[in-house]
Amino acid sequence: MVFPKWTNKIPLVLLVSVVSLLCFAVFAFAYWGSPKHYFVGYQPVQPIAFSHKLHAGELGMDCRYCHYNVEKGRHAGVPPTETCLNCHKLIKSGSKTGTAEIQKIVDAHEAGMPVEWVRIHKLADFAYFDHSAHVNKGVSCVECHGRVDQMTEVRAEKPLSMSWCLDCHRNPAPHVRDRSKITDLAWTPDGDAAELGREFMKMYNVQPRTDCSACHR
Amino acid sequence: MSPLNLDPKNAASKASWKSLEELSGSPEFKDFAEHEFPAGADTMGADISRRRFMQVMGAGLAFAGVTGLSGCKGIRRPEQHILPYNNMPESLVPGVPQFYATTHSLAGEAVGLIVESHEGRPTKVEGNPAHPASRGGTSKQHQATILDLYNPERLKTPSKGGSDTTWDAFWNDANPVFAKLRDNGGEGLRFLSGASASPSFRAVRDHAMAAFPKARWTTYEALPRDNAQNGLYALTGKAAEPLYHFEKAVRIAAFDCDFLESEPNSLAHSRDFAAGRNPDKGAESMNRLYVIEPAFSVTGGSADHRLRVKASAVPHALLALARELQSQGLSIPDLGVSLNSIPRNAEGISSAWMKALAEDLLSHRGKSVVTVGQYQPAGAHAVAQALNLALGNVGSTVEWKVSPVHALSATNPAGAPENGLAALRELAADLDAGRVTALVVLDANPAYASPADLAFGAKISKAAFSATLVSEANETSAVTTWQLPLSHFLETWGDAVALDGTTSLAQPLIAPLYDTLDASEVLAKLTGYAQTSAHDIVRAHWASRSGLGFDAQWRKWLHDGIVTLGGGADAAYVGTAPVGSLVRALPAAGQGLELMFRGDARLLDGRFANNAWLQELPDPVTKLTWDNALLVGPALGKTLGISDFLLNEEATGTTLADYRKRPMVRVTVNGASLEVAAWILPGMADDAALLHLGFGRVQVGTVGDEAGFNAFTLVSSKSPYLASGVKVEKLDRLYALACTQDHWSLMGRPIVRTGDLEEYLKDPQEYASEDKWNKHPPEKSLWDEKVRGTYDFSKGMQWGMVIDLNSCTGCNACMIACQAENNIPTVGKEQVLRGRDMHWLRLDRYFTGNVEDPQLEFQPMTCQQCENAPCEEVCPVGATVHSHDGLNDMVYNRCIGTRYCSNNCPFKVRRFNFFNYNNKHTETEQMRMNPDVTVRFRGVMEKCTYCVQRVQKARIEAKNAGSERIADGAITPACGQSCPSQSIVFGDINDPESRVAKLKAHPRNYGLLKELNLKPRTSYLARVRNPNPALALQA
Repeated sequence: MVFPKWTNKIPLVLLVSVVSLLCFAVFAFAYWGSPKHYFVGYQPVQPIAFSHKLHAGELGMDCRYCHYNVEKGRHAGVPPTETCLNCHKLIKSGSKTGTAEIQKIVDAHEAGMPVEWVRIHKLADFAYFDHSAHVNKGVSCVECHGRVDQMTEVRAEKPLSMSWCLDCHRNPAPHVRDRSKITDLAWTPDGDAAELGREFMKMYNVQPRTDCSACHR
Repeated sequence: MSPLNLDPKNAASKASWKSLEELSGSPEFKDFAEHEFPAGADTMGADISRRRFMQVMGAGLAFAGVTGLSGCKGIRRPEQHILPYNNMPESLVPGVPQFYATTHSLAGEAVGLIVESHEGRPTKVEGNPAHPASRGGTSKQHQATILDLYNPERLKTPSKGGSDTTWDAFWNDANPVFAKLRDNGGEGLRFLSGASASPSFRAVRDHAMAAFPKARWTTYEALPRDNAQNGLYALTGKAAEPLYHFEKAVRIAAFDCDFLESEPNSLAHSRDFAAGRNPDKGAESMNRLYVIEPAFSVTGGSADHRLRVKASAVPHALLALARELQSQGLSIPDLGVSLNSIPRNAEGISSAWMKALAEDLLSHRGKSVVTVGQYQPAGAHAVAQALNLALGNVGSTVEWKVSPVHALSATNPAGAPENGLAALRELAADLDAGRVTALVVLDANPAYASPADLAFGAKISKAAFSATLVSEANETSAVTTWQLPLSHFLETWGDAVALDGTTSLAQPLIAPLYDTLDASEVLAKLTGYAQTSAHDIVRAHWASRSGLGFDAQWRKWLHDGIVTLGGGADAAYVGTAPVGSLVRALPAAGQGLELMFRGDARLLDGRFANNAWLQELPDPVTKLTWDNALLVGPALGKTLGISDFLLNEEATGTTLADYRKRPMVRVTVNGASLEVAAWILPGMADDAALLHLGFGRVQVGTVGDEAGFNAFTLVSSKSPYLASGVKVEKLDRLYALACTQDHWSLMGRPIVRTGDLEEYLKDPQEYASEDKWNKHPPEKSLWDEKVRGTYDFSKGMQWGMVIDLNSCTGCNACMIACQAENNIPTVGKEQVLRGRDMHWLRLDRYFTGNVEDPQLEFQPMTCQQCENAPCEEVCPVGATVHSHDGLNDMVYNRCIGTRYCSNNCPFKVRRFNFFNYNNKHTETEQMRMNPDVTVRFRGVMEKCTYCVQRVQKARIEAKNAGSERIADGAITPACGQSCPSQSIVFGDINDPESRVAKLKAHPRNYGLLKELNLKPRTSYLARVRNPNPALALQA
């Protein structure tokens, strides 16, 4: 006998370990490679410590005061610096950050240079998302951006993956609400969200497309 | 390889053919066409180097900067920034394009445009429906101007002798020169420019000439327009041009006149001609076009009767028509010659043909038109307009309008037309004699685009001070001391008058990308005009002509693009005395081989030679790209020994890869010779050859470099457009010509349906029917169509398209419009030779009939959006699938590049990205991309989408407005929008009231390859010709 008896198990052990390794690799790619893992939670440092929690939450400003193109065009739009100055011409000092952060806006405006905000929500170049088409049909900001009114620094809340988009396009009812409550991020339905949503779907004639060319052009 | 078998019997067996190779049924053609991409393409001749391809592809690689990729964090994508405006421009919504009216002027011809702007960068040019010279249509050149704007090879700063400097340095250099000139009254000062119909520029020019009274201004255009003016000057005493109303004309005789493409005002002509081309109106009201021409033009392709006549014989054919009309009782103004002495059967035109034409014109007095082309001498124009007068057409189908270029002159508002060539010759002589101390060239290129015997370029250096204002370095700027950068028309202000007298304003869509100035600005600064910015010059000019409330009026003019002041002046018949001398000066019809020089359909006189879109656009008739060639007819080709070049297999060892090679010939004329590739084109007049101008530029950017042969080297100033005494010798060399005519062949299936009006009126339902053209068993599906998929095409809005082959002229404007809208790359000559041209929309050109004298058919061919799409069945990854509204979607991000779809497409309309054609763009070039369309990567299939981005935009707009229906006409694909003859109609085929649904119900409507049960969404309206029954009997 040249080989000891335990060597008979080598093929089996090899098979089991290769299979489980492959399984792990698939799992690892599906888990760590998915936007749910690598995108959700993305929270870059912004050039100005602007707090959505303060403005949209505590002060109760409507989202559309700054993102005023959301009902008109593809992009909701980051507000021009002059929009900030509407208030900050007078308000020169913040309750938490003092004058330094607000001064950055004034300086940028005077220098005529744009503030370089770091982009968080970004779709692939071949995907065309239109804010107006969603907001006008009763899909609230919160559905994709989460409770921004509770975020001091904005972080990515939803994966924005294609399958996540399709989840809603295939079953929109729970995500459609009264248009007047679009920017009310804290709003919760009285009763069954899906049932209420179906009513608004009828009212707004919501027919979400699942055609490829609806988003890919 | 086998010789071309051009047996007439062979011709009769095929309804239509694309090339001589297809007609002859040569095995090489079959091999070439059956392979989707030519076999052996990898070993294709070494004369087109890969290096050259890369040059074209990455025209500005050297300028490219690394963008956007600043640091990766883990596996996250690179950090991107959003840069908001500081102060938001009023009414701008990011992502929603804005549209502004402006005006493009080309050689004095003004066309109103509407330009799409995305966040301040112009991306697409459309026609202004309110402008009479556009009516919503555009030409290929208009569409391609966008590419010129973002060309990284534009001049960016002034330079002296090739070294970059500043405008200040130029003014420091120029001001003392002009101060001295002011003291001596401008002695020795010369300006040279192209034709301009801008009132405000004319005001600056007149001021300059007043300030420097001894200075001279030379207006020179390489392509002629003064023949028509001289002809009408003889009749009216004014420098006038004919303005045609083809919609009112039912009988049209065009003598060497390509009024549908290369003549001025061709966009309006196409629209009007199409309006009169409705076969349902019957033989009396549908127009009939007679064309007499030496070489195929698209107008000849639209003809009902076409005669091949040498260019020098065309005026004599016109005189023969005059004689025939007179003998049939028409009183013709005195032409200074005895008409009875003119032979009836001039130059290959039978007297019966002439008689039938004359009868037809006579029986439609006031509703006919006789036109002559710009390459014909003034005498021919005078005769044609005299005939229009005699036939009562003047005032109805023809108006004589004082040329806007001349109407603007304060000193000579309606005097004698300027003779550009004579003026250039005089300037050359002045330069030679040292009489010119300062020469300023404003946006012109006489060193290249002028007759070789003037040797103009070599003489420029004799002027002590010389400057060229030009957008890209050219042959003229290379020899002047100063090279000054010119603003693009989308960067500056201006105005221009159209032929009918309508003035329109030009406004900038973008601030100048570089340190450039407009011609009016440079002239104003040099000569001390009151205003020195283009905006102030234009505005002050119009403010002085308008009364109170100018501000509001100015804003409205800018918005509409049209100035509501003034109008064109008419010219009236005053007598014929000067006509006689013009007619008697007509040269006798030439004997032997004659060579024509004409502007290229795409590059014109060479000014667009560095535009890759236009270089790669196939010529409408020859389908050649990236080159010009000596065009000769099949018979002449045989005489010259160039039609059996394929027999050279033993000598040259040519293989299938050499399929596109053609013999070189040496052309000797006017004491100069040029080696040029030869191409056999059916339909040429006997003993006539044609060489297009505009190619073979010497000093040009990377795109136009090495493209074609410079025909100007053969041109003599004595007879610049026609040469006789031509010698052609065959050389023992071959040259690869990138011709697309055999690409994407449909192998002779009956996809072009055409016939005569009589046949159509007899039984309209039968005319284009399947039974008649393509009898096949009833279509049957392999699967149950009702349960296949989830879509019900009988519900909702379903998109479809109808293309009217009867009004399509084959001008190719749609191809460039599609290219601009859909970010389609150009691939270069080498790749076109490999059959890898990327145009989503192509214009198939077919010949029918006799090989020497065929007819032309055009068919725009693009994705047919089949309901039962064969491409979808074979895609292994579902990258091409259907949508609810019947579109065959192409999903780039799913495509893995198997190319099965392309193999299975019977229409051969799918295009594959063999290389990453789009990653070489500089930042400036990236600005031209349409942000609404994905830029495709290597390894991805692409094809016509029906401009799905426009469909989705309209859908979202309708939905936001609370409506479910999109109004008919709210969506126009780029091809249909640019089409000057409005031949492409798009809309909802489920709405019975839509234009497209009505056309689909028309008896002339037919779908392609119906036997395959593809159910294409695009269909065609069969072409109907309206031949003269009198001539049909004869034949």
